Amino acid sequence: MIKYIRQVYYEMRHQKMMTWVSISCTALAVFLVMSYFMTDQLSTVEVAPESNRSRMMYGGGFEYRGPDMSASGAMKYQMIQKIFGSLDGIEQSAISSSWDDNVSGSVNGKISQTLDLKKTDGKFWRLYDFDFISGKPYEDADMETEAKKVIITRSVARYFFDKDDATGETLNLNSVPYTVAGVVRDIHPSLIATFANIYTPLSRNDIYDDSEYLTGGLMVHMLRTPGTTEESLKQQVEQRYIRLNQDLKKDSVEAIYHGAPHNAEYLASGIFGNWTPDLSGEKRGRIVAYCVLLLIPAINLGSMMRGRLRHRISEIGVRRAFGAKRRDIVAQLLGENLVVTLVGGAIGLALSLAFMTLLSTYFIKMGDAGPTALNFTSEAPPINMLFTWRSFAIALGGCFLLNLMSAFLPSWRASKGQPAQAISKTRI
Amino acid sequence: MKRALLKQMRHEWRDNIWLVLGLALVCTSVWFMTLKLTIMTKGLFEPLGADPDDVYVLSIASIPPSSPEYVDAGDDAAEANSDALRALIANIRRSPYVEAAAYGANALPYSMSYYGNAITLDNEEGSEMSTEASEQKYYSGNIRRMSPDMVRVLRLESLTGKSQDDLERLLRDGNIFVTNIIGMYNAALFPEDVNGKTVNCGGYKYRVGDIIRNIRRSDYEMTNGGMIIMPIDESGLLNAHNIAVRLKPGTADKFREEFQSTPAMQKQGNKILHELTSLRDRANGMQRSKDTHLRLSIGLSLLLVVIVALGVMGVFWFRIQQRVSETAIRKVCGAKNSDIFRRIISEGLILLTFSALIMAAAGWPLLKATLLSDVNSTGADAVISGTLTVALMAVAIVICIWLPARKAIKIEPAIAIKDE
Repeated sequence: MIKYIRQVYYEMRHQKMMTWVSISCTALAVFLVMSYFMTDQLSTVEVAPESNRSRMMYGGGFEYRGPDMSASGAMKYQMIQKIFGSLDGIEQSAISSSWDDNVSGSVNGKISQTLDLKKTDGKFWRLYDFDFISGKPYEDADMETEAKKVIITRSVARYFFDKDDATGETLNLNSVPYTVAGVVRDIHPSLIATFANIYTPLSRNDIYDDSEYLTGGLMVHMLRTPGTTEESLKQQVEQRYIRLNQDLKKDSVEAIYHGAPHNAEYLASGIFGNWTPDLSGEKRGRIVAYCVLLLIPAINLGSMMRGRLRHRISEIGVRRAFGAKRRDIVAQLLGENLVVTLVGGAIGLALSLAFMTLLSTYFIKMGDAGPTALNFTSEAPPINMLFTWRSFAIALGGCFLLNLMSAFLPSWRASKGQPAQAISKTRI
Repeated sequence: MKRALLKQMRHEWRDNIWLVLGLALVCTSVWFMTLKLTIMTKGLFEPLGADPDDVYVLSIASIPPSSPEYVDAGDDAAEANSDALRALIANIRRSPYVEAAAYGANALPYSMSYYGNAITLDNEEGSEMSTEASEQKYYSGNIRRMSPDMVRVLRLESLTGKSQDDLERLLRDGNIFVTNIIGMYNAALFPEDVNGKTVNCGGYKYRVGDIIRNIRRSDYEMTNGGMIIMPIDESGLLNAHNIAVRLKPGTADKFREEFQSTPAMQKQGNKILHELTSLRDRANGMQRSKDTHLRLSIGLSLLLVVIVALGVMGVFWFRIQQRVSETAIRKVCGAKNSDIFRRIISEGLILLTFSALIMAAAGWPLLKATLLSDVNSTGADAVISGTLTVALMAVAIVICIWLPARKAIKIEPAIAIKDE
């Protein structure tokens, strides 16, 4: 490796411009690939409170068609129990409102603010690993008693109470006084399943919804046991739909199955009642994007590599004349190029991290949070959501791939020439 | 010179083919993104149908019975709630910073409601059309409900020359408005067919008072289907989602301060006004994904162009180094600096021409299968965006070859060929 670095250093001194152009090209390519990858992984990365995101499944949409009424939307509590209750292979589950409400939060002496409210059951707090700064979660029993308890995020606590430990304080939500039961760390908006400014227990109305509609306003969060496949859960749920439709047949109503439950990636793309998410198109687009982002710099760097090797044709000839094998020449050239690629890759990775932390909110929409919800949270993703071992491996793999794609063919061709021809610069 | 140049380029076909392929790939990618941007931004050049500057919105919320502040009005709850809303808007209108305030339900731009209905001509007034024909024809549109003052809040525009006072009076008298339609989207009756006529809508009879400019849901949306503006009667039972306020220019901070410090503007009876946001902020929130997508596509296209331009610069840098003797001999034979310069730039542009041909051949089927199937796209958009792409690439290539070309014209013939 040392000899490659020495050779690259020599080249840098004699071909300053070109070395910097190569490094810049590589850095920009890795920057693009990594920024794209980091954006992509925001919907699946496992960080608290969604540390088990890869095993999470969600059911949120419901559609039915009948002679008098057809509707689609979120789910009723009873329907969730019927369709998703006691599935084999589910470790834990919880229920929350399907969409967040905007409520007016006020405390005497403070300007009132609109807050993003998520209603949940008590199991929600065991399913996700929220970091409680103070206080503790509410329980399922609080739904039955309609306890006026609220869990707030640290930013909300600091705004209304000027302190992190606001447990026991009173916060008015649409003029109803709620007691702060606990304070949790702020959640990043791209953690769609858990993001909110404040959390309250589901009300009895949410649970015992006896309206004529089969749709409601709730969704279910489920944690698969290790080893349970998404497919096996989908099959069970499809069976439940068949059974449900047998019950609904007497009213000539049919519930439409849309492939639930869905994983975190689907949740990020939006689960709607009358829509079966199709991510295959998105996946195809992603593969094309990665190919284009790697192919363009590879072709570019390959062209430059060929130019660089023309200058070293005599050197290659001399090495060959002294007994170097073709694979030695190729390995030497690939090794040298790898040093340049790694330097460019490191710069690209640093650039992508800086971009994602400082500028990404200008270019990428994070989650579904509205503008008022963002008053109480930073939209820029924290570094632990961006820089994971997976992203590091992707960056390194990208560099190796780029190196191979750009340097192998020119190196192979350069090593092919006869020593005599190469020394006399008649062929490369 | 051109023939000689082409011959020389043919000799270096191996290097050139990779360069052309790289350029073609970037050209196609940038073309795809440019066309996407062209389609996406078409709406930005259409009028919004409302003036969102200085307009602020307040959401209406209700105090639930579980609140100690809940006022139980028994059977008169609906009237009490309407009275509370009337008291709230009266207090807001009293503010010295407010120009106009109105109730709305899906009335504002930047609201993605698709709730709609159809209107048919009333048979009694049904012109000369047969009953059968008039029953079949309808004007369909999204329903936007507003109290008359909304005309001044949003500065709605009549397309028949009526003033804002006229529009306001027409709404107050219970008239409805229809909007202009671009294209034939779901419309068998045009706005002109129903203007001034009595129509049926949702089982009620209305008179169409005027045709106004379509209020679009977002800056990006194209005007396709129509819109039906229904009046909210301020003196009756009120059913509204929000209150929109037009402030006097430059008074937003003062109004916000006044609103936050005046409980009577925030709460009356069981009704609360909250979430004071400017319409512009609402637009930014609602259009975030489109805005960020737009910026991202522009940034990505420019970065791809920069990457490929750097590559072209690198290749030409080596070429110039390799052609030192050749350039010196050309100079000795009488070539001027401008000739050398032109030759190098031409080489880059010829390579781009080949790339553009590949781009057109490979990109057209791709665009046809994807973006050009969009209802808002046309072949002309593809041609314009393709031309723009090639022009952008040409500028990038000329800038990047400039540096190596300058190096070439500085070559001193005597020094360069002293070893030959």
